[in-house]
Amino acid sequence: MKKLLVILLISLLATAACIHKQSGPVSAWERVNVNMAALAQINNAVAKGVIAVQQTGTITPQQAAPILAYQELVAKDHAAIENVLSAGSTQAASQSAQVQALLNEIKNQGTALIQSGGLGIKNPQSQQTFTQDLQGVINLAGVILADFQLAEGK
Amino acid sequence: MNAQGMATLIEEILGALSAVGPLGVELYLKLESLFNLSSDEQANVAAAIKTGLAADSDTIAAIEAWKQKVGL
Repeated sequence: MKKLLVILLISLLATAACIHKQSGPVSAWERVNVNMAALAQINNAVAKGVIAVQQTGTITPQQAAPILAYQELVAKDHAAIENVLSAGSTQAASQSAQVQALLNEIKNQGTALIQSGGLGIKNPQSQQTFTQDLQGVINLAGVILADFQLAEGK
Repeated sequence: MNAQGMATLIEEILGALSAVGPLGVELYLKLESLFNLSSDEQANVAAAIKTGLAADSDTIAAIEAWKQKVGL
């Protein structure tokens, strides 16, 4: 296990060694936007995993529906936030309440979905359960919320 | 990269992995080019937004196609 972790870390360092700017530190505003992109990518991977699992017959369409409804909510909320962020940091600050409400919605709806149970199935795309995947989405939304508040100078 | 830079980098990677889980590994590979941030903040933000919106469109399209397929 330890060996696997070391290999994983080395692989990550080899591939992610460029997680920095060519000059100067990464700003809070850049961090918000890069993490937002990450959130959308994870959400996409989870949605495709749910669809793949459903198509193999492991879960019924009725079981998949609430999970995918959440993934679609995340994608739509995320797109709405991006529309605010794309107008720039000043505009985003003026619509801070809306951005934070959407991020909180992603967190709260995800938590409620996990608490409803039945998500212990493994996602073939991530090799972890959908509960763990959704927890990742929720955690990342929390990270973005904190970064957003940091970018606002709170 | 100096020792402090390396320590910060490892901290960032571990932080992101603990927040996202194993899916974070794939994520880093996908976003490798994005994380190679240039000195231009504006360009970095624009690239991140474009990447995120493309993923959103793909997610919504996949789910809508699935709904039609299963009749929901």
